[in-house]
Amino acid sequence: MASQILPLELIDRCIGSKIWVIMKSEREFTGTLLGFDDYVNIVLEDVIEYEATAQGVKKTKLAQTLLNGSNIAMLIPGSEGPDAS
Amino acid sequence: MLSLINWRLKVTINDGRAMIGQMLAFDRHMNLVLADCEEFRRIRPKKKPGEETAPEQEMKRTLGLVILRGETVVSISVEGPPPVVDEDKKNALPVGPGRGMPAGRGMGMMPPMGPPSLQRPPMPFAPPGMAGPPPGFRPPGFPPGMPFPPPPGFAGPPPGFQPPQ
Repeated sequence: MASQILPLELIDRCIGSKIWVIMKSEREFTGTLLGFDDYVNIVLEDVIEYEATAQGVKKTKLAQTLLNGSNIAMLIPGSEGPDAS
Repeated sequence: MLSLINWRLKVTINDGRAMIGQMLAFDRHMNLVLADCEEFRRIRPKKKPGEETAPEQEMKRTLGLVILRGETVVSISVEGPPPVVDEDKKNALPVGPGRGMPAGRGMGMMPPMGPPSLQRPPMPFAPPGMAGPPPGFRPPGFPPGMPFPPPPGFAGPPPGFQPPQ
């Protein structure tokens, strides 16, 4: 049985819906996925940035962000982020 | 990789995290789709001078469906076999009466000899019980010897015609 759906196809299906992006560092983003490219650079809208620091999780709200694909470790489609789970 | 599909895998990524989930898909970059994924992180508290080494804390989070970027993958190992899903049993139809055969249209389905009516040789005589109308029975207005009424347009034998006696 071959893979029925490729990972990048799955990301493509998530365009327009909420997604949770976990970076390689202790940094996470949630927002609406606007688009991505071949490098999996990602554009998000209505973003909350979660930054794990020694003092705890620092939250920052951002309107639109471009994430460089080389820093992304994981994508979790349809998730509202670390607060929801 | 293909043989590992649907298996539960433990994927170590390059920041030290381990992801455990059922691998649904992969591509040439080793991007992975993991279902029911859990994330494990070892957090080593900072060792302060004059203190015993604090025990390693393990942080576990349930993430669900995850797309893991292939670039971050360090190692993959099998955590367990594919979960047994009874969906296969649900979709299977119960055994019942009937038979399977190929279906088609037109001449494809004809037997090679031709239509069945041609297979039977023509009958040289009428079968028993169908010898014709009994003696003395005939439609009114027709001379004896003509076994059936003439077709439309043929009113009958011409005047003066007598069937042979």
